[in-house]
Amino acid sequence: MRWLLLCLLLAVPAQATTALLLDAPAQARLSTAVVVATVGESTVSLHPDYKRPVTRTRVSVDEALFGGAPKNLVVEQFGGTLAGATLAVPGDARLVAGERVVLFLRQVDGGWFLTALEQSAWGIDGDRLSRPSTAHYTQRAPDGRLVEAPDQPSLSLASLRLQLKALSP
Amino acid sequence: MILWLLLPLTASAWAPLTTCAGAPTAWPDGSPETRFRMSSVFVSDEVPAPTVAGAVRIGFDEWGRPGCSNFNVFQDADAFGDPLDGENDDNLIGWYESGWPAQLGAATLAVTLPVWWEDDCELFSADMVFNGDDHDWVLGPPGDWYEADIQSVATHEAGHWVGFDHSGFGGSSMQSLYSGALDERTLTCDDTVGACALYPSGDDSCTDDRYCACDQTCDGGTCRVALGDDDDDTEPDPECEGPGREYDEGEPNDDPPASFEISDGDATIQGRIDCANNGSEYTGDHDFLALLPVCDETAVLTLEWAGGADLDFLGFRGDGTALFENQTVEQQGPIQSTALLGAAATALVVCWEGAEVDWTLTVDWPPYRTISSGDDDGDDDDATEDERPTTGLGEVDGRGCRCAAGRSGWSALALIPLALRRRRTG
Repeated sequence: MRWLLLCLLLAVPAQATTALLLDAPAQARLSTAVVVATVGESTVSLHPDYKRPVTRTRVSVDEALFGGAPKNLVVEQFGGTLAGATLAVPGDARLVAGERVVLFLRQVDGGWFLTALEQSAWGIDGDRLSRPSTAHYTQRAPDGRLVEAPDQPSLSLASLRLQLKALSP
Repeated sequence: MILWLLLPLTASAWAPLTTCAGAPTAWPDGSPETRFRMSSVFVSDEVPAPTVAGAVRIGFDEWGRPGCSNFNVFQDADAFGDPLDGENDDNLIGWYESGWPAQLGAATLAVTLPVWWEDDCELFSADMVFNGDDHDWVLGPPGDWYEADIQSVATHEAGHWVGFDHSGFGGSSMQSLYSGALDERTLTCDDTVGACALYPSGDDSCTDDRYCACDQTCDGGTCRVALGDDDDDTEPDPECEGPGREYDEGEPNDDPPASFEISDGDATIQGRIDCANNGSEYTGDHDFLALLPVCDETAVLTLEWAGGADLDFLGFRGDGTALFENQTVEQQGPIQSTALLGAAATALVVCWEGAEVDWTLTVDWPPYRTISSGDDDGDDDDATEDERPTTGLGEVDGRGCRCAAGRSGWSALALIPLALRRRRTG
């Protein structure tokens, strides 16, 4: 999958040569679809292969910003509580029923997954988008130095829509 | 649990995975479950198994190094099994060289899967899996962007195994995003505080400052509260009791030749800095400036120096997030940044390479002074009079900073050589 990561490198801001800053276009290129969706109910069950709790969350797709996704789908994440024991994956997103979100999704073997865990679930407040902890990543400058990446500008849903539209074939 | 090839620079401190009625996630003291095994099947393609096991072992041991922590884990015999198989109870650690699960996200380096009882947060199982599908693994400084140091990542993952969530504390091994270097191999004082909170031993022995609380230093093998800022005075305070101590920091600008002037609400600070780097980090002076403006205005900060050195200039808000940065290659000043200085902020002057050099930092409130139109090097740091930021607060009164405190502009401004807790960005 190294070619996939290379796509990320090419998508980062111009100064970067080796950064993996997952800005919207970079993450979209890793995704099957980017959608505006409303989070539904979640259920926890034992994964048939891994024998670990998985949380499956219903998602109602309101709009596909990039790629294609069905109107209703289920996002699967490791984690959840079964029989009094909890498994959690820190760094993964928490999808809360009723929330309207932008999701970056990958479809693998028929299932739907967040492309890059918590980086793949953005909150929506009016037209503004809230991204998790994206303010202070480093990226490698042309001379090899690790430098702080510039602040990610506040993004509106409308501008994200335009960004992703430009990526679509 | 997830370590990315990125690095956050925020300032929040250690945190447990969660709490249950106030109790943090932690292994029971002295539990026989605090052991791990290396998988004999899911192994790295690139690094020999004994080398991998040794690096992982060191990563775990790091969390037991603070004397105030009684955390201890032992390595059991290797086991045949899949670390992601939830049916084993071996606390297995292994490598996925193919078939990295989609649930764990693209580009993730490694994941630890701790399980705890919901009623008391007592950990009873934790497996760890490294992503060899998307990354190459090395023991030592990564030579390319897709490589990662086993020991650094193992130390981070061991932190999750111990019971910690991600931390935003600068330089912490528990930052969620991998530095791309070896920084995560060692704890910071904040990691130590966490380890000792979850697994207190009552001991205060130490072998290094980082194995003490953040307001302490390791003095003669014992953690002791640091005396003052320890680097500004050449003589001990006569008010102090006990034996005298000598301070020789060797900083040419700390005692107190760094000076500032306030004029019409503006400030000028002068200092001297030496330059060095190791290829990825600044290793020379780090001149921190605590900026405590009473204004809520946009200021123009101009760093000037004579030349012959590549100075860089960064600013941080009180919460540690970036306010501005200027890290382009500049062999001569001035370089400028603008920032809305509405609260306490920190500026950092560092020098990548060149000769030791005097610098002058001007903090210019509206109405802005007429200064150099820039360095004309084609970059975007060449502010001119006409391009100065607008305040957004209406017209200025022409007497300096327009704010509640009148024209003074600054309630205080001092050169404070803060302890460098922030990860050095290079």
